[in-house]
Amino acid sequence: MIFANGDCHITYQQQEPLSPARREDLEQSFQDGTHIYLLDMVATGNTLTFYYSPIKVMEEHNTIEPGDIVIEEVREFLTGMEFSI
Amino acid sequence: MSLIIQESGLLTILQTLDREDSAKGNEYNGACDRLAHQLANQLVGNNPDQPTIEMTLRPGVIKFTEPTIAAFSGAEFKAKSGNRNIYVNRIYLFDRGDELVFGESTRGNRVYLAVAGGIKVEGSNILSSGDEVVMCRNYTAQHDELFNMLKQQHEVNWGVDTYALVEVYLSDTYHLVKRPDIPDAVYAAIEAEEYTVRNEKYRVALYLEGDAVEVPDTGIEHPGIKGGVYIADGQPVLALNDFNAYTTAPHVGTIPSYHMHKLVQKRPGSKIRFKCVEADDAHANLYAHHLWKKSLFKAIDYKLSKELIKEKM
Repeated sequence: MIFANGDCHITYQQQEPLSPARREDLEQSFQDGTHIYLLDMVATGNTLTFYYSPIKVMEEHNTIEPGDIVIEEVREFLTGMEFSI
Repeated sequence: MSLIIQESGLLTILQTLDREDSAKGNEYNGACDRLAHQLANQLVGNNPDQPTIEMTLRPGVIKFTEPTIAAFSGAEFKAKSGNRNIYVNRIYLFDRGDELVFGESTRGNRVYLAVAGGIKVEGSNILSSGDEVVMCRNYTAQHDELFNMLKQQHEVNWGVDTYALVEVYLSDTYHLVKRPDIPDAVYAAIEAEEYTVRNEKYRVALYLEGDAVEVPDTGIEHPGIKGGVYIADGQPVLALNDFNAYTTAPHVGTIPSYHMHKLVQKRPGSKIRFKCVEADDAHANLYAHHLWKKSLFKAIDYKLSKELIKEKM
């Protein structure tokens, strides 16, 4: 499940726990990768939460609905990390 | 030369606007009330992201050791410097030896003190009595003009008044951005209740009390994000800047950033109601808030420039 967690975060959540090694791998990959709007990522046992600046997306895309654009970027990251979503 | 924390008050901390990595022992998790932090800086001609001194509930006493332009924003504390009344959201020049002493607050519990040219600390950012805050003195041409203008009267006769900020601070209703996996009945129950702020673990969480809310515990480890609303023992817990990185308490939604300014100014005993909204509604409100803030800051810039030009003529 991917959802807008408030106005500045997107969260991916799964029921099965992410192992510590997998989380470390995800955090390292996020840190090493280049991103358009995603500024930070926090991993917990079941979630990955991505921080972004909605105003930046709104102004660059001339929209007041930035959520879908950022969710698409999150999907691309997750797909690249072999999540089936 | 520096500012001296004569009395540290309850919690006096040098804080950045956004979260920043720092040396061990320092917690730069961002200003709780970002608007007040930026507003105080804007008033003294700083960039809005310069560090400020955040003081909670019972602000400290601050002594100035050289001529200093400063302004405070946020809670409406009564303050004095000698015989002078010092008001929130106004610009003042303090002289060497002046002390800024805070009294009671008529609204809110957090105040942000900005100093023209910027400030920093060399040790811990949690300030104790006797600590020094270093003045950076990164003065711009506008700061020089401000010093010149204030040297006669030591204050300006204008400021940002309460009415300009009513929309942001005075309502007791808070948006809560819904999650897709929480039943509508939970949101209906939350909206129907008027909660009371039981207490605050400073900068960590606000604890509310009201009728218990039943939320199924799914065993998910949720991220602890600012504004997150978690249910512990049937009662909402609202995450602030220093909240845990994660929690297994059920998460029912998140308060959007544009309502965090007024949330962090709530004192124990205050009332809170929730209006549950979709993320798209929150984004529309966020953009309106962003435009309002831009126009407020432009108005301050305009007023400052006008005063400085008047001074030159």
